[in-house]
Amino acid sequence: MQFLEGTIAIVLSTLLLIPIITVSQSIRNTFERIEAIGIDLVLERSLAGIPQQNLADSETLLSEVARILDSNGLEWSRIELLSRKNGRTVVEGKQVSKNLDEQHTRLIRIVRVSSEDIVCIVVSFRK
Amino acid sequence: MIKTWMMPIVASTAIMVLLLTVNLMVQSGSILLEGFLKQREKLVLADSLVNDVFNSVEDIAETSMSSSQGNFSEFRKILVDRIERFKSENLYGEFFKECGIIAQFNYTIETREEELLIEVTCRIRVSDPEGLFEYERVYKTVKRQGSALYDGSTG
Repeated sequence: MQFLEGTIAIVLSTLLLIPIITVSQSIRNTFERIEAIGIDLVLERSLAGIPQQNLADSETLLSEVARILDSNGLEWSRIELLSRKNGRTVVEGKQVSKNLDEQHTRLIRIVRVSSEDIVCIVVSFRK
Repeated sequence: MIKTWMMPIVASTAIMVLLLTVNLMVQSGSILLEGFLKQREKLVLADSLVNDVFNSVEDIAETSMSSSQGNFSEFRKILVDRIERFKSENLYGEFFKECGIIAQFNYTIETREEELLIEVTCRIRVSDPEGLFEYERVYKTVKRQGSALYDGSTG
């Protein structure tokens, strides 16, 4: 009887460990996602703050976006500008390994409008 | 009756139940926080877009006023033409749709004594896998012949 009681108690404790570990892992993943969203928010605010007069020239806009990414310490792999007037402009990041695949990169996209043009800025950077 | 040797096991079981409960509470809180931050992210994007639209309308009004060379009726005509072009090319064009954004842009121009009251309503709809997000703001500006008088924005 005592053996049975002890066995039940030990099995119950072991069974409790499994959901604790599972939930703890899930919390860690959620916190990582929250941190990523926080970084995205800061980046999107910075990109939204680019003056409208800089939107007309692709080179100026690209250097401004690259400056923002570098100042935030992000390893960016690609900056893409899709402009209604100027078409598509892509810049690849030099400092990031070319073996970087989709699983290790994150995308941010923001649309900016001026009186003359509309530009979609897409940034890929390391997670 | 609980034996003495079983007490550590019962105590550790109780602690683990408590730990699991706390973990579940933290998990539900973090899920709510994640949802809130995602909504905030959409809000930041939509707000920046609406700000761009209003600033563009302001630019169009200023350049129209310069182009009209003091002629008030000419100013209104140029302003309407340029706003319509801005609306059709930038906001209602295919480009916006390809980015997954729908914009509804409405404006009214009221003529008073030697001034124009321009009221712009911009509604942005973003559709993504998590559902539809909608954001609307109204912007008013008054242009008087020769100089801008007042502008303001309401949420």
